[in-house]
Amino acid sequence: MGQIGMTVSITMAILFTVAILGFAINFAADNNSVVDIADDSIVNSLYSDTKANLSKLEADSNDTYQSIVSSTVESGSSTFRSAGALEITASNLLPTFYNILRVGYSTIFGTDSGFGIFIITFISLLGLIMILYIIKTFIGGSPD
Amino acid sequence: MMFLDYLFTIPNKTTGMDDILVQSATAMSSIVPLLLLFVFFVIVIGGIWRQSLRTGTADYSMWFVIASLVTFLLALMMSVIEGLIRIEYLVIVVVITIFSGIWFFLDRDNSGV
Repeated sequence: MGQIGMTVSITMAILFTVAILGFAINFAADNNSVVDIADDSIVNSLYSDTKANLSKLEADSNDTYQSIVSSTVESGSSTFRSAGALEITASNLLPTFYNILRVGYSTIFGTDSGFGIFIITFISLLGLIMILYIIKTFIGGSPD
Repeated sequence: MMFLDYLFTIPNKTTGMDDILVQSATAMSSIVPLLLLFVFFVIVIGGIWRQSLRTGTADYSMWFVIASLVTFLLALMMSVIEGLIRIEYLVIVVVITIFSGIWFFLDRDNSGV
């Protein structure tokens, strides 16, 4: 995936997250819903963090745009780097991306250490399969 | 007339459809997540199967997004009625919707949508 594709994907994913969470919270507020995801502190903090990141991206984009528009190039000087608008997106939005993944992990799997045992067992199984594949490659025979 | 021994209280059917759902959910708390799972997988499996029959390949991430959005709207409507859905289920549905959206956006290479 190229830089433009990656940037657009990340931006769209963050915008989608804000739209979904905002719709759910406003749905609960409009209908006096008894169950509201705004009551869940983790999702609520994700919502405010994501919105703060988006407004910072907006401000940074405006600054970059201003610096590109108002820049002057002297004759004989090197050309101006104009891809700054794509650079700022990753630095602004990637932390939010990790945030979303962490919220999803802790919501679905929980922060209980019991699931850690499951993960470690599963990874050990994968490691065992890899070792078997490597050994069988040298010795011969089907690893399956 | 023989009376049957039920393991739960029969819902009072005179007070409306939502009361039947609420009392069923009170008697068996897994009925709401099972209902949401049913809707989700009917759309995912049905959509993928039908699309692969028609075109040969299936757009997995698109069907996951559609199914999770429908489930999400159903869960939102359920959240209005007291005692029908718990906040854990609603948050899990929201998280799955966000994950499907992220997968959908990252899945696209250079084609449209």
